[in-house]
Amino acid sequence: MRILALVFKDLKQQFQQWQTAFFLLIMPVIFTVLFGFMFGGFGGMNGDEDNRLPVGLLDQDQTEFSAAYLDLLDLSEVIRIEADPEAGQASLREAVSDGDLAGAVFIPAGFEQQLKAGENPTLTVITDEAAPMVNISVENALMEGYSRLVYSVLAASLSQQAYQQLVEFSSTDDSDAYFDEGLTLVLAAWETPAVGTVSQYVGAETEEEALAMSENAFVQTSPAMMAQFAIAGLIGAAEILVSERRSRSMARMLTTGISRTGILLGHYLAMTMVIFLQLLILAVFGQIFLNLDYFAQPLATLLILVTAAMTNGALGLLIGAVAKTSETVIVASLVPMFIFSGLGGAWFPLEFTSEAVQKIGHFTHVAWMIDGLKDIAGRGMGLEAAWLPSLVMLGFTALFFSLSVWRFKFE
Amino acid sequence: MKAYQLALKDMKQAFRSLFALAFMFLIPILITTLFSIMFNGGGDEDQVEPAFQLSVIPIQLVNQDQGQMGALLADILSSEALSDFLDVTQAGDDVSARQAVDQQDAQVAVIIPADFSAALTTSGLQTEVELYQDPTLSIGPGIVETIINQFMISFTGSQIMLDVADTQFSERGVPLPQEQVQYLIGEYTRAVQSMGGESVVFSSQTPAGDVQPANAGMTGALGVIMGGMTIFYTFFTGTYASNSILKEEEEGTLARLFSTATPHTTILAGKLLAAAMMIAVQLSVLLLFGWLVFNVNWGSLALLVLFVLATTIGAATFGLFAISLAKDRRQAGAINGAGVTVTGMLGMADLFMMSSPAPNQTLKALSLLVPQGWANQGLLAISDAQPVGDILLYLGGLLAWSAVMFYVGFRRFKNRFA
Repeated sequence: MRILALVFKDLKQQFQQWQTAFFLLIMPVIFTVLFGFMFGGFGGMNGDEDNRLPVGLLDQDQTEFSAAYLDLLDLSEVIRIEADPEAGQASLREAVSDGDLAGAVFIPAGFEQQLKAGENPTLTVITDEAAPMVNISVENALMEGYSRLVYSVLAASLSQQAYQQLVEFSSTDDSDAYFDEGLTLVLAAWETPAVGTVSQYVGAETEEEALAMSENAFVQTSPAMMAQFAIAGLIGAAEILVSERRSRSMARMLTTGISRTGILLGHYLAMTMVIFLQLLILAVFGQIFLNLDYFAQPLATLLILVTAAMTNGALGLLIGAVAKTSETVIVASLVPMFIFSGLGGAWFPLEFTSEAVQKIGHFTHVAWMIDGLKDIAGRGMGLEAAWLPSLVMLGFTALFFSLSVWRFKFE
Repeated sequence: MKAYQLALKDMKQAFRSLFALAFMFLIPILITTLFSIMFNGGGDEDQVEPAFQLSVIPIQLVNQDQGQMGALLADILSSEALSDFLDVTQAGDDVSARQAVDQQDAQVAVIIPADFSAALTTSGLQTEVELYQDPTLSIGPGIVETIINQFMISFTGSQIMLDVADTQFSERGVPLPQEQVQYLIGEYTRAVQSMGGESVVFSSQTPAGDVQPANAGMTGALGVIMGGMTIFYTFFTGTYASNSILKEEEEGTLARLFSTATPHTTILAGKLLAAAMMIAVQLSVLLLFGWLVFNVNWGSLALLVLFVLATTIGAATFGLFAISLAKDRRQAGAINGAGVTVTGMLGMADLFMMSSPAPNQTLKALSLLVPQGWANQGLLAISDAQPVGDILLYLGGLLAWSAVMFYVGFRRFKNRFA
């Protein structure tokens, strides 16, 4: 009963401050939405809007081949060519540097001539070195178009040679006309190729569902921001511990009937409840506004949220145990927030890193929480995906709790 | 002179505080090191690692095609040449392959359809290779799709060639004999095999015209991270330093100072100067560290000096403004935590968008809603060797923010202590 009274006191103290709502809810919502839309929002790269990466072009060849290359690049689902006849090398480089263009490509003079001679002309590709993922996408798309062009020229040229082996062309013009006709036919054929790829997704039953799942950027940002701001939310809670210790309220509490364990448990429960409420509201927000079906598997989601809240609650207790002043509470909260979030995949998905780093990342509870929530919301999985992250998070809870009991000073 | 003495006293105190030192130097360095290890796999300096080093992608392969083309695609995917990227497991059927993806034992199941060879050799037939994948992953499945597409382009090219040759021959009333078909396929295959890859075709450059080194993304990305972290924490230092006004007020030393002949404005100027001195030291050390340890090319030294100056003013006035909003140190703690974190994260949006293959440029511009965003864009512009006019625009924007923040912060404190 005394423990409950302490819990209610802590909750009241926290919810009386506007900063609590700001830290716990407004900040994660803002950053989830902001980063989600920065990464493509609901539409990814194939939504109604043309979200393809804009790539500038400088055609220094101005031939049929360079025009054909542009037509082939137009088929890309990744990039869209922004051909500005006024643009020069300098302005295109500047536009890439400014971020107005994802990249730029310079087609050299002699492009057609070299291709006809069976040589590889060198195209200059400008990309921003600070955006490696964009660079990979741009270069792959440019290469895809280039390959199609090269194979088209090869196909038209071989058809011409094969014909010439049987029938002599009456003139060079006749031979050229045959080649041009062949090239036109080959280029047109790329619009309906004999083989292509089709993507199907785990957990998607219909095509629309598959598209929505694969292109919803919030699948990453929602769990990531939930994980990050659950730690940020501990600042207020840990500060209560520090201020109680500094004002000697905690020491006074010890003179009452409540035990040391009771005080710790009371504070821990309050922190856990606050974080659980925060995570629950954010999950509901994701369900309603971000098209993330967290509650298709309510038990699995609740299991993750409860264990994540327990882990963060224990971490909050640990912060309150090690911090001596309000200032150190901030350091002790923000340092783990940045380190656990960065390593755990809240800032960059762990799939972008090496296997070793992925393993290291899973030494943080953030990685397990994100895994669990992504499996539920992104892959439509249930308890089978939730039990392991929950178990690991319980392990972290035990670790943080033990450390805080060890380090905790009541005076 | 008095303002300078006050500043020196505050600075001395700050540099004796473990908290301040941790926030000013240790954490930004620690986080950048962390990301360096994350993306570089901890490779030594001489080792040229690819940017964003990826793990080998486990895929399940099902070849339902009995023809040669399906076998060829399967061989290519399982070849030694691709073993650095792909770890291919031949699955007995599509059900077990899908199951492996469902259970996260594989990132993608590649299912070559039964009519794959037929579609590539018979005119008018169309088919699709199915990629069954995990929707929460993007890069692994994306790489698999790119590799398959590259090969399929060459396969499709041969089929298109035969169709086109057949059409052209027919139009001229000449039948396409089998020997010519063999000739076409043979020559096409020979030509495809002799073609070079992306590195032969593209000369990859930075906007400044430098050749993109093999690990360009790494150095560039580290620059963005280190720059973002540096700016983020200098603004923390701004609020931390100004926090001493509240500390002295609560401890009563400010009242004692006010009782001396020193004017209030001199005291506030001293506090602002202390913040500026700390920030300038912090900025210089962190930029130097980034250059020496992470090999980050920050760009022109003269412009960098301007950046340090503008950011010092920006962060110091930000601190004055932010702390002027707090009634006591408890509120200041929340401002330090919430306010600086929110504005700081927004300001370094570039950092968070690095991993996006399609970043939204319009939303990226939102970073300019906070002073940290102007500082960040200014630093990026200097590193990218953008035109001086653009750089001055960003630094000017930051100074405009500083003027507003100084005016509001200074007035609030002046009224408070009047």
